[in-house]
Amino acid sequence: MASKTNVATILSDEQFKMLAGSATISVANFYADWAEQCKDMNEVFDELSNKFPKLQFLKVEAEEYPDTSEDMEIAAVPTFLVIKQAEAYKPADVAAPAANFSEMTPEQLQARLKALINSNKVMVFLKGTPQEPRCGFSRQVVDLLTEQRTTYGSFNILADETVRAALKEYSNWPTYPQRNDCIGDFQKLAPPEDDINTRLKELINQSPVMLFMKGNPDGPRCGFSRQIVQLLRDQNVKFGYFDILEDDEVRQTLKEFSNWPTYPQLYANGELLGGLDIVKEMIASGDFASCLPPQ
Amino acid sequence: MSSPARPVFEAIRDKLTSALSPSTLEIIDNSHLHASHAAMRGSTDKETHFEVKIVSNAFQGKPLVQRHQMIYKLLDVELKEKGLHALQIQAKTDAEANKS
Repeated sequence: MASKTNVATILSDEQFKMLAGSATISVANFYADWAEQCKDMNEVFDELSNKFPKLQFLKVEAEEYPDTSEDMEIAAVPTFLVIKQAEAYKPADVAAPAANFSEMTPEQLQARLKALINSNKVMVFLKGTPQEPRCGFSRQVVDLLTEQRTTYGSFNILADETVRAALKEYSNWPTYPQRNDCIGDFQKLAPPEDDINTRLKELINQSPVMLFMKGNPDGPRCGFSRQIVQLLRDQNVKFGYFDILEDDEVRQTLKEFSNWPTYPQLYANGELLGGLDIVKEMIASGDFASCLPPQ
Repeated sequence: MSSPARPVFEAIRDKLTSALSPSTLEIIDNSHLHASHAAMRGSTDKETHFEVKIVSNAFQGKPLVQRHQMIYKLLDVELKEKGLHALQIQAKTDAEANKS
């Protein structure tokens, strides 16, 4: 297979500095051969390099180049970093919204990725989101960046069907589809100044069916939340979720927003359906399915 | 006048009765079932979890979510300040109650 002109395998720290410094935008994949989880990300990386021939892609075997890895604050593998040629640091206004890549033309895709990248000096591709990392290594990266008080944007590669379609393994990923019904949550990394009502509106519309619960579906932290998850699963409903125990601001303000003082709260198509009692009643009366978006 | 031994119970009964003129109102105190739960740790509240079964024509024409919201609104103070933590609600109209 001919090597691609936009992909470089890094062979020295100097080469990394030179290449990252010379391209407007580089996407770097810090990986290790011994790390099982890197296999999937390597495929994602390849797929992305096909899609964006104008961007420079750098493959760095993290442990071989410890100075570079340290400079880039790599805590664990795999890590993708998007490096924009250094200019005056601008704090992120709002992290880029979730993109629907599958519907775009190549030009739109490129523009979209560029916009994503340009929204933040540092952009991290994670399994999951900063709020809900879906693997231990992603969680560590998030913790490190937070500790460093680095403002960053994030992209949940598990939420992008086009990218994920390239990986057969991900069709068996427990969050899609099988009996597993959770659509991973796109958590925007909004800075504190962001209007909470805007944030709530976005959260509510994150998924066609959106559950605000205590804990998460595989580890609910209250009996009512556990029951409602069970009901949704029994009914084969695909839903996104938000753990209100993780975010006190959302926990308190959503109560006012919804005019609903308790959790769990189930939203469908951006409208409040209610709590556990209502879901139970609607299932019993046969009205539940008609309140949901087509599954 | 001495203060009630079960203030939250009585508030639920009094407020729902006067606002909704229910045909039937059943209030069950389940607080003891949840006393050891994580959310209740460190709490000295005695009246925290109730089940309310209410039949009233005030609910006519209202979707379930609105009926529950009405009840929550009536008990806003209890929920915010008096230790009421959770309500299981069944809210029917006379016609609906007679059907089952």
